[in-house]
Amino acid sequence: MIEVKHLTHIYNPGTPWEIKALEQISFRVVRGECLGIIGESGSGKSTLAQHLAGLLFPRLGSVLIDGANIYNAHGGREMRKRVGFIFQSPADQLFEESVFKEISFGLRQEKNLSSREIEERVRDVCRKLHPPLEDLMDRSPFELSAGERIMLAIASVLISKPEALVFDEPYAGLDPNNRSEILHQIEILHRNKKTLIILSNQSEGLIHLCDRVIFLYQGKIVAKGRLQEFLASGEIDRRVTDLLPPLTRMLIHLREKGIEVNPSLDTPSSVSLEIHRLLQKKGKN
Amino acid sequence: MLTSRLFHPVDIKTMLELRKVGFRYTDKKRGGSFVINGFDLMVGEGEYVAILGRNAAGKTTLAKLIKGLLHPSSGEILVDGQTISPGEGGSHVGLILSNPDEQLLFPIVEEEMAFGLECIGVGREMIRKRITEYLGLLGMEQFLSFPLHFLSKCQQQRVAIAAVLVLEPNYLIIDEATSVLDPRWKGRFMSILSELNVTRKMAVIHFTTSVEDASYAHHILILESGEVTTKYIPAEISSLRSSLTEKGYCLPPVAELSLLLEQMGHPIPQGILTIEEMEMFLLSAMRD
Repeated sequence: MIEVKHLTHIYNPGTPWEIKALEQISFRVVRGECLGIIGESGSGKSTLAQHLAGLLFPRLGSVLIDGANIYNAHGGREMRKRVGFIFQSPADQLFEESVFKEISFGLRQEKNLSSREIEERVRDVCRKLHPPLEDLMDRSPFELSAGERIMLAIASVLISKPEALVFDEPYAGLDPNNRSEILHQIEILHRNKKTLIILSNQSEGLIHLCDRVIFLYQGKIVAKGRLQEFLASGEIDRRVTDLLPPLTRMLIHLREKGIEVNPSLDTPSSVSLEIHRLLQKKGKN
Repeated sequence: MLTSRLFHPVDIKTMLELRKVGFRYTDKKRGGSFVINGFDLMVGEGEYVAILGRNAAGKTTLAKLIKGLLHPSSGEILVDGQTISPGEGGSHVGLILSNPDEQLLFPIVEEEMAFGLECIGVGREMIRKRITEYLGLLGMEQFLSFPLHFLSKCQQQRVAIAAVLVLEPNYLIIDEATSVLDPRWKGRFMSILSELNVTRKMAVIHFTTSVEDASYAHHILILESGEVTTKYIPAEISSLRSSLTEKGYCLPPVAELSLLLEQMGHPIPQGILTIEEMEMFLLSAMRD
């Protein structure tokens, strides 16, 4: 559905501040797929996210939706609406005085919708969220907790029924409880066959969520594929290991030292079960 | 209320001291009751304290009080034996905030770095030398001439950190400064702190919500509703796992893993705090 072809992005070309943020990036996301793009700060993630959202103009290379360039003169604007975008800090995309107004903003711009229809659609979107936002309708977006703000940003994007969603660092700066709520919400979207792209500086929580992942390093793709298969295979690039969650890294090191362990786990609970199994096996011998 | 005299006899001339500090906001929205109440703290040269608290425990208020950005409603704050007057934390106390937007003042990295040094009268050559050294420490030396708005959040925060460290403060106050850093730079920042704490005897007071960040300190104080309720040393974290979880703190992955393994009947030694220590322990447990 979304295709990026030979995308190169250079900031401030020809000035002393020239930075090559992306170099020859090509990948494809099919409908209903969840793609993770993992890279540390400065790897080009946010630049890539802005290209996917149509916020930057691709001078070298192109971004296509269903084969058509999103900067095509005809219908480019409509096409860009098919991809919803959730920014790194959701406060940047919130501006209305109440949660209801925030979510309904897009719908209120359309002339042929009655206020009743708008309300129904807003309630419908909010009901489907976990946790639901229904009880917070009259609150100011700026009174919400960090986790609730992200839910609100998701709701205000979902209301216009995009086919694909791009998340830029969906859980940066959140505590682990909020983080697992957001991951759970993304899982639900994935089950409902939304096309998803998640950009993150850490692969924590993404191993089981994403169908495929791409590792970005200094603006280039250094590895891509199915993360579980990828972890199960022997040699892993150092630049990639550094981006894996600490517990996964520990399992990889154990495997390198000859312990037969499954490294494609990342939460304390799944890792503890795997270690329990190994220690019990050891006890029996 | 615990008095936090951390190391024993400390010279008052090389110490940061809070004596029965109380604070309440006077503006309409937050005004009223004390958010900090009778707070005592002594931090001497070369000490490293983490003050762990959840949101709204009073961490940012305390950090700003110590830097002199807020003035105590009661009690007093002394730096090297001198009471600080409003707006006068001085260059001996450095403060790093959680959001670089609140900290950075200038359009260009170099200007941001030089401003504080010029204010305290450091010579031109020395300014250049120190800027190179501290930007290098944070991996930002190639961005010297860059406008700050060309940089990512993590890079901006690294400039903000470098601009405070370049003044070589005797006391460094950190308010939740790692949340915008990516995992690699977060780790690097924590080791820079430990290095400076040892080599330059810089005292560190780290306000944080993260048990993991706190575990780098020599002492951990738990702050609840403006008061210190408990004191720990990092090695105790493993035995306090359940009580910290009950209080709503999220444990570092290693501590959580140890807790789960113990519940499954595999005792984990107390001293295991880092992922490397856990790896070594598991390796030997699985081999012999």
